[in-house]
Amino acid sequence: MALKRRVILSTLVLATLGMIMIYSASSYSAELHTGDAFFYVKKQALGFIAGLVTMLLGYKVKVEWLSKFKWAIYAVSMVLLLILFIPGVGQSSYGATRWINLGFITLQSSEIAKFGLVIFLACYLADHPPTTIKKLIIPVICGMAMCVAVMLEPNMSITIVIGASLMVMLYLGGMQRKHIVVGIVLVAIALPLLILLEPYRIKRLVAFVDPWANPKGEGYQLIQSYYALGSGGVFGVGLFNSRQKYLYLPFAESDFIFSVIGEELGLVGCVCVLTVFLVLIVSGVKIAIKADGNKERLLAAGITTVIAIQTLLNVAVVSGSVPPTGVPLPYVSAGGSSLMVFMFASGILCKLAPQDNKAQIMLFHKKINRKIKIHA
Amino acid sequence: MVMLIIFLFTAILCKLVYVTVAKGEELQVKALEQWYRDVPIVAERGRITDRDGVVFAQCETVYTLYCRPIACVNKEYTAKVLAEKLELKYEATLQKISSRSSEVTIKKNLDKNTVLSIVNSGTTGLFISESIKRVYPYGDFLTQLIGFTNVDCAGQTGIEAYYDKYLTGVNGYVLTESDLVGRVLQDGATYYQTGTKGGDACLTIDYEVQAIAENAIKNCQLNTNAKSVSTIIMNPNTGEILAMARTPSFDLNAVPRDNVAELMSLSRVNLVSDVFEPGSTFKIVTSAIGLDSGAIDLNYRCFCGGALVVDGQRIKCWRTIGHGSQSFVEGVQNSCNCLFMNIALAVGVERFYEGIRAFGLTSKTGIDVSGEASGLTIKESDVKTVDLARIGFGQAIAVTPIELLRACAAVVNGGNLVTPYVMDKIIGSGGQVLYQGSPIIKSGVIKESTSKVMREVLETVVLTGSGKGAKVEGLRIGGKTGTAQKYANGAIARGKYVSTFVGFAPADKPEYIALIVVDEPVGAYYGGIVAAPYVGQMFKNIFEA
Repeated sequence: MALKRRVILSTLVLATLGMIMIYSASSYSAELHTGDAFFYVKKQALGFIAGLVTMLLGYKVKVEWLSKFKWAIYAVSMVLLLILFIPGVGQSSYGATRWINLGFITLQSSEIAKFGLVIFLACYLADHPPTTIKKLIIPVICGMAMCVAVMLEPNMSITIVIGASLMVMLYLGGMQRKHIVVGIVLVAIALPLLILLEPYRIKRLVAFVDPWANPKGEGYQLIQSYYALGSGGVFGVGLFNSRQKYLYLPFAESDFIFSVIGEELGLVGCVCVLTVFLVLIVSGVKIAIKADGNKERLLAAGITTVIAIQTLLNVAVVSGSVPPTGVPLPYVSAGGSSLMVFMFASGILCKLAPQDNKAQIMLFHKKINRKIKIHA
Repeated sequence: MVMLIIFLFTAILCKLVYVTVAKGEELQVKALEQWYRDVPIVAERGRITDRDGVVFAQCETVYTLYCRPIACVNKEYTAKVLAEKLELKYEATLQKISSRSSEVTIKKNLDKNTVLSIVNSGTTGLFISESIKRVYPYGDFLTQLIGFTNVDCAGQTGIEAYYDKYLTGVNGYVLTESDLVGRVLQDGATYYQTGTKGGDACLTIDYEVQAIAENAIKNCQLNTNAKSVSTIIMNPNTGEILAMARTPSFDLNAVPRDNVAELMSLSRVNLVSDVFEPGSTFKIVTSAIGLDSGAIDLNYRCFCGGALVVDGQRIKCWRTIGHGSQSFVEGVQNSCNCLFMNIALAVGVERFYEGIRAFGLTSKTGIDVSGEASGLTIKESDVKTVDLARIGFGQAIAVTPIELLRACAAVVNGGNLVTPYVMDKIIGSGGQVLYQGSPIIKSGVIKESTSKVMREVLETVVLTGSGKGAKVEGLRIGGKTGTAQKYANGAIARGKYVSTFVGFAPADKPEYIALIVVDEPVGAYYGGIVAAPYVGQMFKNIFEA
C-alpha cells in the first residue's frame, strides 16, 4: 500500500476506534454527571469532523509557506502557552493549568505548541544545520523555552515529549556526536533534579515501584489500570462490557483509554491497536527517509517522533512500565483539540509522502491520451 | 530509528503480556472484590439448651437500616418517612442521609414490619441488613455459666465465650454489582452467599434441678443475709454438672455493662475460679485418706480435750470444752477437729499429700468453663507437723468449690475421680455432631470398701450429727458441714465465715452430689444451720419431682 494511504487509513482507524472506546469508557460517568451518555463522544465527533478539515489543511499547506512563517508559528505557539499564566484565561483542573476555554471548545495549548515547535525546528534547522555550538544556540533556546513553559503548567509528560522531539530533530538536523553526548548527559542530570523539585513526582515514583503500598492514594490509578488490563486478559470482556469504567478507573476516556481497550478487547485488542500505531509510525519514518528536501525530511521525522513518543509514553504509563504521568493517547483519547492537531499532523505526513508511482503513471497516461485526443 | 521504535513497542508489549496473562487472574480477583458491595447476612448463633432441650439462649432476627446518601434521590421525603416511623428528629435525619459518607446507619434492632413499611413507602437509597440479637428466655437463670455476648453476638463470658467457635455461625453475603461510590448498577447481578447457622449447644444442666437450685440459694440468701450464695449439683458418677447457680446475679437480657467492675464480679463463675479455705467439709477427704491408707480403722478412738498441742502449738477444737473420748464415727459426726488432726498426723505428710493429689485437689478439674483456678497447698517439702494437723481439718489449704465437690464425689462413688463437665453435645445446623462431651473417669482413688464406709459414716452425720439440718424424711442423704473463717490480708477476718455443706443422695447409691457455699452469712454461721437445710431442701425437691 502506498505510504499516503497507510497514513490516512491508520489515522481514520485510530480516530474511529477512539470514538467507540470513548463512548464505552465514558457513557456511565457522562450519563451520571451530565445526563447525556454521549457527552464525550459528541465532543469527540465534532473534533473529528474539524480534524478532517485540519487534515486536509495539513495536506494542502505548502512547506515553503510554513518555512516563511516559521517564526510566527513559533511565536503563536509560545503565546498560546504563555497566556495560560494570565489569570482567568487558563482553565485549571487537577492542579494544572493546561487548557484555554473558548466556550465551544477547550484548547490544550501544549498539544498545538508541540507541533508548532516541530514545524519551526524543521524549517529552521534545514536552513541552519546545528553543526556547531553557536548554531545550536537558537534552536536549543527555542526548544528549552517551550519545555519550561509547559513544565510550569505543570505538564511533565508533554515536556518529555517536546524535549525528546527536540533532541531527535537536532540529531537529524546534523548535530555533532560529541554535542549529542553532552546533551544526553545534561538531560540525565536535569531529570532527577526536576523529579526532586516537585514532591508529587517522588510520590508517583514510589507509587510506581509499589502501587499497593498506597492503594487509595498515589498507587490508585495504576492499580485500577492493572485491574482493567488483568480483567481483560487475552481476549477481553467484550466491547462495552468494561466494569472499571464505573468510576473505578480515573480518566478512563482520556489518559487511560488504553486500559479500557485492554479490558474490553483484551491483549489481542491491545496488540491490534499498537500494530496500527506501528504502521503509522513506520510509514512516517519511511516518508522522512524518502522525502525530497531537508525541510520535508525533518518535518516528517519530527511529526513521527511526537506521535511515537506520545504513544509509547501513554501505553507505558497504562501498563505500568514507567511512573504514572498524564498523557493522552494520540488520535484515541478524548480531547477535540488534541485530535484536530494530530489529524493536522497526519495531513502533513500525507502531503510529504512520495507520490504514488502507479498514480503518477496513470496521470501521465491520461495526459498523453488527452494530448493524443487533442492532436487527433 | 525504526528498530528502536519496534524495540520499545515490544518492551511495552511484554509488560502488557505480563499484566494480562501472567498476573491476569490475580488482578481479576482483586478487581472483583472492588466491583461488588457486600452486605453481610449475619448467621444465626446456635441455641443453648438444657439436657432435654429447654432453651436457655437463642437468637432473634432484627434489622439494621442503612442509607447510601448518593443513592437517595428524594432526601426530604425519605427523611420525613424515617422520622415518622422511627421517631427520629427530621432535621438530624435529613442531615445524616445528606452526608458525604458512602454509607450511614439509620437505626439498628428494628423488627421486620417496621423495616418493610419504610422501604415500601417510596423512600430511596435505603438498604437493610439482617442481624441477630441474643435472647435469654429465663433472664436471670444459670447466669454465670451461660454468660453473655457483646452487641455483635460474640461470646464474652461463660459458655457463650468458651464454646463461641461452635455457637458462632458463618456469615452469608449479598453481593451487588455497584460503581465506585456504591450506586447499584442497573443491569448488575446480585449474588447471595448463604451463611451457616451456628451449632446448638446442649448442656448437661437439668432445667428442673437448676430451677430448684436457683430457688434454694435465693431462699438461703434471704434467710442468712449472706453476701453471696452459690451451689453446684453434679452427677457424682459421671461428672455431669446438673445445676450451677449463684446469687447475687443479673438478667442476661439486661447486662449491667455500665459498671465494669461490678459486672466482672457478678459474672464470675466463682465456683470454678475462686479458691477458699474449705474448713470441715474437707474432713471427708481426710477421713477417706486415713481409712484407705490404713492409718486408722473404724475402731479408731481418740480423746478431745478441746485442743491439741502439736509441736508446742495449741490448736483448738471448735468445741472449746472438748468432745471427750469418741470413736471415729462419733468424731466425724461431731466434726471434731482433734480427731482429724490426729488422723492427718497418723497418715503422715507423704501419704497425705499423695492422697490429696489423687483426689485432684492440687490441680484443675478440667471442667469446660473458662478461668478455672487450681487449689493452693503448702509445698510438700515445707509442710511442718503443725501445718499437717491444720490441713487435717481443712485449714491451711485452699481449694475451689468444684475441686472439693469432685473430691467428695470420689469419696462416695466408689473411688472414681470424675472430670466435671457442662457441655453434653453441640449439634451443627446440618444435624452433625460438632462436639460430644463424655465422662472422663480415673478410678481407684480409694478402695470401694473405704467408699462404702464413708457413705455410711456421712449418712450418720446427717441422721444424728452436725448435718442434721439436711435431713429429709424418706430420703437417705449423706453429707458434711463446714464452717471456715475468712482471711483478709493474711489475718483472720473476725466475724466473717464461709459456711458450706456437701451432701449426696441417695446415701447408699449416690445419684446427686451437691455443694452449697454461703459466703459471709449474717448472724448464725455454722454450716449445719445456714447451709445444710438448703441442700436437704434441694434433694427433697429433686426426688419429689
